[in-house]
This record gives sequence, C-alpha cells and structure tokens, in this order.
Amino acid sequence: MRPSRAGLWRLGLAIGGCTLLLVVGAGLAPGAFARAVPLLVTLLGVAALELFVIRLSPAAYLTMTPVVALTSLALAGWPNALVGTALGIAVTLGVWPARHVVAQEIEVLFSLATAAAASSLVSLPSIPRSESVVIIGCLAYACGWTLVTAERLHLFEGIAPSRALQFLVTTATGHIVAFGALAVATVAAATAAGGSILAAALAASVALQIYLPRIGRGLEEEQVLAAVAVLATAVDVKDPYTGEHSEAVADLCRRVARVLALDEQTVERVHLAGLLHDVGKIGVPTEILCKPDRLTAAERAIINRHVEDGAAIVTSISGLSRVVPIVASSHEHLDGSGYPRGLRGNAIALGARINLVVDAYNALTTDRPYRRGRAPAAALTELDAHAGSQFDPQVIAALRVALRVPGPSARQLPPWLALLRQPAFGLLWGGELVSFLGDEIFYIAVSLWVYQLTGSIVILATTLVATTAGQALLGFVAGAMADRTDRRAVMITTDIVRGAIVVALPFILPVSFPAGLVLLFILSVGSVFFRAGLYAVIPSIVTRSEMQTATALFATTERIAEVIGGVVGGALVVLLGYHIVFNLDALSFGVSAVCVALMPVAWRQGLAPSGTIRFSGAITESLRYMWREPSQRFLMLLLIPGYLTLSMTTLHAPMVLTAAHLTPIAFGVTNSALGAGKLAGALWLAGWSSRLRIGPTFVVWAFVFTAGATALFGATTLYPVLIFAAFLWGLGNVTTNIGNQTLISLETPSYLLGRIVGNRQGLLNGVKVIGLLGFGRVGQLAGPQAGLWALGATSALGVIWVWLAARRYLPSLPVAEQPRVPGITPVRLSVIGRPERPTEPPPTRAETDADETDACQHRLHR
Amino acid sequence: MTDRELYSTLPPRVRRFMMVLWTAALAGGVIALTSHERLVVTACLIVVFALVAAIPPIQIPTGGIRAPNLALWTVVAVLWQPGEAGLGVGIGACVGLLLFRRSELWRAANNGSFWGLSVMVASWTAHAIMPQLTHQLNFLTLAASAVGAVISFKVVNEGFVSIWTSRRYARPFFAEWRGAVFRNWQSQLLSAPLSVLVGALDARLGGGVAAGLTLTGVTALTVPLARQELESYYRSKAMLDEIVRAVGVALARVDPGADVHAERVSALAVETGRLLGLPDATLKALELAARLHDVGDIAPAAKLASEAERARMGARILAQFPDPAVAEMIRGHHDTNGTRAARDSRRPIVLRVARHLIPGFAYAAGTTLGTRVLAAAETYESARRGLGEFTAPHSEAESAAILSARADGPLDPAVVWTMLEVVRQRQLQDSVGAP
Repeated sequence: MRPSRAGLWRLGLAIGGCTLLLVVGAGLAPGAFARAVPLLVTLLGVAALELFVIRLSPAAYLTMTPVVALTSLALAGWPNALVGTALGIAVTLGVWPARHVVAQEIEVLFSLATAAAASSLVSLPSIPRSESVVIIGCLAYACGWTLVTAERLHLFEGIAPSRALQFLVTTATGHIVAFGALAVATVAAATAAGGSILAAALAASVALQIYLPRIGRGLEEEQVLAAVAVLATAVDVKDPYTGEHSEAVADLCRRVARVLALDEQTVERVHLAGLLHDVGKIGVPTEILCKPDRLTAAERAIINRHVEDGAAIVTSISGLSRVVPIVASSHEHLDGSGYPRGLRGNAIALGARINLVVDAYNALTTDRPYRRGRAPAAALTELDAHAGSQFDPQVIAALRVALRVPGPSARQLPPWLALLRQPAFGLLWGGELVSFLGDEIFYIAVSLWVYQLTGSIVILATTLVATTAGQALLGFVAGAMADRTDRRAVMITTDIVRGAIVVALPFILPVSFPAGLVLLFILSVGSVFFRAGLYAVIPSIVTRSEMQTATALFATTERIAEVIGGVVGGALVVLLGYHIVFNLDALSFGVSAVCVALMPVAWRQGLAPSGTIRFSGAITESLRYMWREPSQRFLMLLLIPGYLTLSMTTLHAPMVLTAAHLTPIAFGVTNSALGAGKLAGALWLAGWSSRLRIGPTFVVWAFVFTAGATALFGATTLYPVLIFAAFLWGLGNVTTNIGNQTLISLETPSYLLGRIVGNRQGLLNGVKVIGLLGFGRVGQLAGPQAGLWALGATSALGVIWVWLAARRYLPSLPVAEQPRVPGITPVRLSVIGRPERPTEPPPTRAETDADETDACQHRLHR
Repeated sequence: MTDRELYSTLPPRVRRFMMVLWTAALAGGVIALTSHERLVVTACLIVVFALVAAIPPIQIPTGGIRAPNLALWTVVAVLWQPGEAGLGVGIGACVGLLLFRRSELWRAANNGSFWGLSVMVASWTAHAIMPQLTHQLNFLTLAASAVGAVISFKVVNEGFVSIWTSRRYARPFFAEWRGAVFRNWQSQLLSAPLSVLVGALDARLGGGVAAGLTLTGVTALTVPLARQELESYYRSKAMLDEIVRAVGVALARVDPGADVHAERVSALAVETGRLLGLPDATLKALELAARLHDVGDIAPAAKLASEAERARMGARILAQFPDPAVAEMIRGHHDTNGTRAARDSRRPIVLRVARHLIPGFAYAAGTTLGTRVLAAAETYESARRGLGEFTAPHSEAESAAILSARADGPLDPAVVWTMLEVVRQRQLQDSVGAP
C-alpha cells in the first residue's frame, strides 16, 4: 500500500498542473482566483492526507480526510468541502489505484455528505456556528462511516455484522473523534486569524505530524505480513504439487474464523498461523517430503518433527509469539491421537483446530500425483467421518458455512429472506398474509354492516362475542382434529368452509339474524382449527434452527394484517360496498386454500403412523403428555401467571380516560403504540436477532418484561410514559407469544403438536377470561392504577415462582442446538449462514475402516 | 545499568565541558529569574516536564534512541517566554530523570541543561520573529516563528550534543553536527504546524496563563501515545530482520553452514556498498538480499539447476517481499552481464519521464549497483570457503586474485576495486588487533 514511483510522478504533475492553471487564472481573473482558493486548499489537503492512511486491518483503512474536510465544511461551506474532497480523492486514486481503495473512498465521500447534511440541519445552542458545524459533522461522519464500513466488511469480507461494528468502534472511533477535536481546534484557531481557509492546510499538517508514527506502524505491519508470506512461499516451493497451499489454507482459515465470530485480532492470528503452519517443512529433506510411496516409520518421524521445527522458527520471531501455540498444536487431534504432544479437547487452541480442518480440506480437494482431488462435498463428508475424533465438529460446521460463501463478492441472504424463498414456507406465508388481511377487512365490514342493519350496539356486541367465544371453547377439539387427519387437509377444508360462509352471509343475515350469528360462530371456530393446523404444520416444513424466524414471521403477518386491514377495511367498504368486500374476503380464503394445497409437503407428514385414534383418547393423551413431560409442564405452568397480563386490555381504557384524564384520541394513540410495539417485536425477532437463541430463560424474562411494562403503564399518568409503556407492552407480548410458540414447536413431537397448540390456546383463553374478570373487579374497586400494579406484580411474581420451582427441570430443556462434543466449549456460529443440523451421529473412530483412516491420515499429513 | 559511568571516570576534557554547560544553564536561569518571569508558569512547566521525562525513550534497532518530544518543546517555545520555558524544561527534565528514571546526577544535569538552553534559544527566536501573540494574528507570521523555533532548537541542541560526543568519544564535531541537524529534517519540520495551531488557539482563548498551561498539558498528553506507536513501529521493523533470520536458520537445516556464509556475504557487501556511497535504504536492501541470496536452494529443482536459474528461483520466492529491490538484487547476482550498469541518468529525460507515467512502458535497464556488489561479494566469499563452483577453500590472496581476474568479465571493475580495498582494510585491522 505504498504509492508507486510512477504514481508520485502523476501526483506531482497533477498538482503542478492545477497550480499552473490557478496562477494563470489569477493573472486573468483575480476574483475567480480568490474564490478558487478554498477549493484548492481542500483539494491539496485531502490529497496529502489520502496518501497516508491509517491501517486498521488488512481489510480496513482509515483516512484522515475528515480533518481537512470538516475544517473546510465549517470555513468554506459544503460545496467547497465536498467538491474539494472529491477532487482530492480523485487525484489520489490516480496515484494509488489499489483494488479496494475505490470502495473505501466512496465510504468516505458518503459519510462526508452525511456530515454536511447533518451539520446544515442541526446546530448546537450556545456554541459558535462554525464549531457546531464541525462537532455535528464529526458525529455524523463517525456514525455514517462506521455503519457503511461495517456493512462492507460484512458483505465483502464475511465478518459478522456485530463483530465488524465492534471492531470499527474499538479501533476507529477514537481516531475519528480525535480528527473532530483537531478540526474544532483548527476552526477555533482560524477564527482568531480572521477565518482564513489556510487553517485547513494547517490542520492537515498537524494531523500528519500527530499520526505519522501510527501510519508508519501500519506500513511496517503490512511489510511484516508480506515477509511472512515469503516464508510461506518458501515452504510451498518445496513441494511442487502443493502449489499455493499455505496461502489457500490461510485464506480459508480466516473465513472460517470469521464465521465462528472470533474477534479480528484473533482472526488475524489464525490467518498468520495458516500461512506458517507448515513452515517447519523447509527443513525436511525433499526426498522424504515428495516420496510417492508409503513412508517408513523413520521417515514418518522426520516428517512429524516439522511441527516442532516450525514452532521453533515462529518462536524466533518476537512479534509472532501469540501465533506459536496455534502452529505448535496444528496437528493435534481432538481425541489426543495427534502429534507432537497428544493434546485433547480444549487444550488445543481453537485456531489450531481450525487450521487442522482447513488443512485437511485443502489436502483432500487438491490434485496429487497419486490421486485426483475430491469434490468439496465429498471432502466434507470425509471430514465428517472423523468429526469428534480428529476434527472439531463446530469447525466443520463453520467450514460448510464459509464454503457456501462462494467468493468475496457473494452475498448471503438474511435468514428471514432465505426462509421465504423456500417454496413450502413462502406459499404458506403468502397465503396466510392474504387470508389474515381478508379476515381483518371482513370483521370491520361485518361490524359496520350489522350496526347499519340493526342500529343497535347490543346486537353488535353480541355478534362480536359470538365471533370470539368460539375460539376459547374449541381449542382442544381443533388440536385433536389437526392431529388425527392431515394438517394440510384441515387447513384447506377450513378455508373452503369459511369462504363459503362468507359468500353466503350477505344473503342469510338480512333474512334471519340468529342464523347469521350461527354462521359467524362457525366462522370463528374455523379460524381456531386453521391456526391449530398451521402451527402444527410449520415444524414439517422448516428446520429447527429456522423455527424462531418462522414463528416470528407469522406473528409479523398478523400484525401487518391488523395494521393494513384496519386502515384499508373501512375505506374499501365505503368505496366498494359490502357485497364486494365479502366476495374479496372469500377470494382471500380461496387464495389461502390454493397456496396450502400447492405446498410441497407429503400427505400426513408429521402424524403418528399408526392410523387414526379415538377423539377423546387423543385429547386425554395430549393432556397427560403436557403434565408428565417436565418441560411441557414448566411451560404450561408458566403460561398461567404469564398470560394474566393479557387482561391489561380491560384496564387500558379506564387508565387512559379516567385516571389520566386524557381524550379518546389519546386512547387511540396508546393503542397504536401497543400495535407498533407488537410489530417491532415481531420484526426484530424475524429479521435481526438470528444470533438470539430462544430458550426457557428467554421466555421467562419476556414474561417478566411484559409484567413490568404492565406495571409501568399504571405507574404514572404522564402521557409520554403511557405511550412508551404501551409500546413496551406490545413488544413484550409479541415476544412471549413467539418465544412460547417456538419452544413448543421445538419441544413437542410432531404427532402431538396440533393438540398441544390447541390445548394451550384453550388454557390461554381461560386465563385471559379469569384475568379479565378478576382484575377488572380490582380496577373497579381500587382504581385502574392499582389494578395495573396488582396485575403486573402478580404476573411477575407468579412467573418467577414457577421458574424457581422448575429450575431443576431446566437442564433438560433445549438451550443450544449445535453438535456437542465432550471437552469442547461450544462456539456460536455467526449470522452469515445457517449451520446444518447433523443428520446422524458421526461414527466413532473404532467403527471406521482402519485402512481408510490410515490412508486419510497419510494424505492429510503430507 | 550496565553502561553506568561514574563522574570520576570521565576524562578531564569532558568534565570541563560539563562545567561550562552547567554554568551556562545556571546563568540562563538566574537571568530569567531576574527578568520578571512568572514563577507559577515555571513551576507548572517543571511538573509537566518532570512527568514527560518519566517516559522512557525507545531503543532503535539500528542503534540510538528516540523520544517524540520535539513538537512539545516547540509548543512550549512558542507559548512561553524564554526564561519560563528554559527553566521549566531544564529543571523539569533534570528532576524527572533523577526521580523516575534513576539517572546519575551528572547525566540528568547534562540533559536538563541541553534541553533547557535549547528551548530558551528557540523561544527567544520565536518571540523575536513574532513579538506577542495577539487577538488578530496572522498564520504566516506564526508559522515563521514556529519554523524558526524548530530550526534554532535543532541547531543549538544538536550543537551541544555534538560537542559532548566529540569530547567524550573523539568524533569530528562539524560532521556530527551537520549530520544530526539534517537527519530526518522533513519530520523535524513537521512538528512546527502543531505549535502554530496551539499558538493560534492560545490567542483565541485570550492568551491567559490557564489557557496556555492547559494547551501545554494537552500537547504533553500526546507524547506517551506517540511513543507507544513509535515503539510498535520499530518492533515491526525489527520483525522483518527476525523473519529474514528465520529463513536463514531454516536454510541451514537443508544446507548446514549456509547461514554463516550468508552473514559473511552480507557483511562484505554492506561494507563495500557503504564505501561506494550507496544510500541507507539500498544498504538495508543489500544486507537483506545478501542474507537471502541462496533462498532458491529450497526448491527441489535447485539441485539440477544452474546458479543463474537458482538465483531466479530465489527471486520468485521473494516476489512478495516488501522491498522489491531485494528480489531484484537476487535475481541478477549470477547474471553474466553484470557489468552493464543501469545508466538511467544517460537516457533522454523524455524517456525517463515516460517510464514513470505510462504503465507498461519500459526500456532495458542494466543491473543495479546493489546487484553488482552482491555478485562480487558472493564470488569472493565462495572462493574463500570453497562453495559453489569452487571445490576447495582459497586463501585471502587467492580469492582476491580470482576477484580481480573477473573484474573485466562478469564483475563490475569499480565494485571489485572497492571490495579489494575493504578486504585490505580488514586484513590491516586483523594484523593490528592480533597480539
């Protein structure tokens, strides 16, 4: 990363040409010259600073451009600052056309534009205008640059986003703040000197003076890396067949280490160890190293000595002392069968475990004189065969993830998008979105219509009760139904029946109101059946690791449908009339049925194979299972105090209208905040939290959080706090829902899942009714605030009590789902990809063909 | 401390110089104290510089030490009156060295006097160029005074140090002084802008004592940070040497004795190169290239290859080496046309400019001087130890004869004569040193 000699010539010519042009211009038009000075000073300052960049890592550089650019922003306005910087960068790129510099310069320009925009919009009170511009600009620059660069590091270098952010914040933010401080000082000093733009040049030279040691250090580190690469090349030329083995291994090691979300310093050490892992082979005689036949014991001993020799060579380089343990144990096996020291388990450095796997993978996939290289999939299968004995399974999983990233420019899909692109899940989700939307619009239309037909609120209330009451009662039956026949069939049938009822309703309701009510009842019962079928079928179409995202996505669908349906429903009725809206709803059921029917899922998938069972027997079996299975009992008992918070809805209106003396509009606003909280929670869990693993503790804390939000809602009558608490409540509520649903889907055997979901729905509705009645009464007697407090406290204490009482069951509950190996601390995989679930337990060492193992060893160690 | 020297062991001429130095420093202090300087400022500066003196300087691998203090001294010279600055820096450094670094009294007093007197002169220069920091100041005047401070500090300080080395180690005074003043002059001048900035800020803040002391303190805070970075820089620089040595050790495993041979070639080549007036950077490249010149032997095909081919293999291995000159020297050191010099300076200027500006445009260049030095050193050492084409070791005279016989053939005559001069000097030293 040093400017070439030719580049410096070009820089000199460019600067000389500019100066000549300006001098000639000054002679011809003095006014224009004066106007061009700020631009020229910015250009020169930026060009000078761009030549000397601070190296943070091999992939990230920090330029000192903001020092000049921010000064120029404050003293000469944003056009001069932006154009000058862009020109300065263009001049530098002519000097230094390295591959990745262009991307980094675009980041700089983007962040600078952000800084310019932010500083023109916001200004700090009681601070002079120019200083305020620099301070705001510096903050905006730091945020913009960090975010954009972190994203680039994630996309192009495969660093997990959180790690990339952490890396940049720890290594670069201090420098950017220092640049800002320098710019502020310069601007302040320039005001003493009449606001001269020359201050920008001064700032550039001061920045250079202060940062020269840091810049020099970066250059030297680069040279060291190059020199280490020379050492690696020296090894690779010894064996003409291995070619650029060390470079390839080092590169792949780095990618695997990043998938394992190690911090960047460790990643760098793993990379260096990858370059140097075979350095001891320099001293091995070529006759032995390149011998095509089987090695004798003596020759094998000589080859095995290369690890110790390599460690000795690396030890002699003082700056690489932290790489030594990795190199020294890079041929140790997990079960202690490796050499030279026979270490096992955690005693082997993680970097060495990575190195061993990647080295073996590289050896298997490259051509040798005595065999052709294997395909990547075959090589991975071979590695799997020795997972747990030789290799760390976590590292193999990470290697799979890393290899799925084909090149430096490929982009890995976020988990929710990857899930939606699966045909089965995409169809189900799309159909549901349409169907939920139709439901929402339908309920609004039916309420309006009944009210218009009868003009009576009582009848309207009766209708609504009819539509919801069915859900509480029939959960048990619906679950059993979903588990007896095919789940997809249940869903399709429900859709068809509901569609038919919706089409028939406009003709029946005006004729006979009771008959219409019966139809509405059947309709709401139908949605219970549908939901039981839906949540029971999800485990058949997604893997365990996708469960959380899947559940969260469905929660998102419902929330989106609520929001859009609420807004669109009324408008549609006004615009199109009831008949057309009802027909549209029927159509949405039809779409849902078609989508479900098209799902590529086998008939009766996930059901018990032994034919149909009796209805009552099925329900009893599920209840018995819920009580006997410790984890199910824990989750069921947790549900009772936890979902008491649902009765917050009954105290919501009294709290806002009576206790806080606010208007009905405020009630609407808090309600919207609640909905927004639900949507935010669902989106968060679906999209951005794939590193979050839902376990029992998560659910407990989500319940406690919701209880806390309930209490907060009753804590004060301040309007903003009410809105905030409502938002938190929505967030907590949706989190508990998704957490519970995910845990149940993960924990329950598939053949029971429909019933368990149904039973829990019934139980939940019962709890809700009890809570509504009980705490409604408390609210009536002691006021809504006291009611909310009592509700929050009861719920939180109940949840914590259940948790404490059931703690001894907790170890049997799922926490992580990665392959566990005794003696190895599990490492979380980063979000770049999803680890595969091992399909079958790997064979132990004793089971594998001894000859094949030996042959593999021979190949691996060459 | 292994190099601890007691005052009584110093030669009388050194002691005399020190007496004069201390008297001058004391006189400066007395004059300063009687000319209405602010004692508060002096006391604060003493504290600051005592603390700064606690930061140990860095040992540079090539010899010598570095402390990144010049910017701080310049800031003090621009901000404060000569007396305040001189007394503060001098007494502070002396006290700090005594307290925190356990220096001997005479060393601490020496350093304090060097720095105090130099800062006093620098401050006097700065204030002579720009009499007073005012609210309406001009960057250019301020810059001139800062540059003046840097230059005067450098000249005076290096003057004192050179007098000391000339007295103590009998080195030529003027050569020492000139070399020290101009060494690294770009980065010395680069410490001026900081004092311009600090001076302007001081004016903006009203020029009060509190503001000035705060600015001085903030500047002093950057010193330990800069030292840390410098240390990492030199450590990385040292790593390059260690890696090259590691390659040598590895080579010795394949071919015992290769490392000794490489070190000998390296020493001879560097000495010859120095006599030929090669710049420091080229000398460093030459040293590394000489130590790595046999790296091509690692390749399995090397056993059957000619020497020139082996040299090219070595260059291929070193293709990624940070300094491309190293690979270039190794590539050419067995070429038979080694005499063809790179007569770049005789080409028309148009071609020379075009070579830098147009990518891919090149004209045939001869081997560089470094390559020719390496070739000659390799020939001499191989003949001396009986390596390569030579089946048996030759005496020094025979090796020299072989070298001069090839001066008209594959080797550069100028290089050969210089090298023979080096060899002669070594023989002379050996015969003098022998009992």
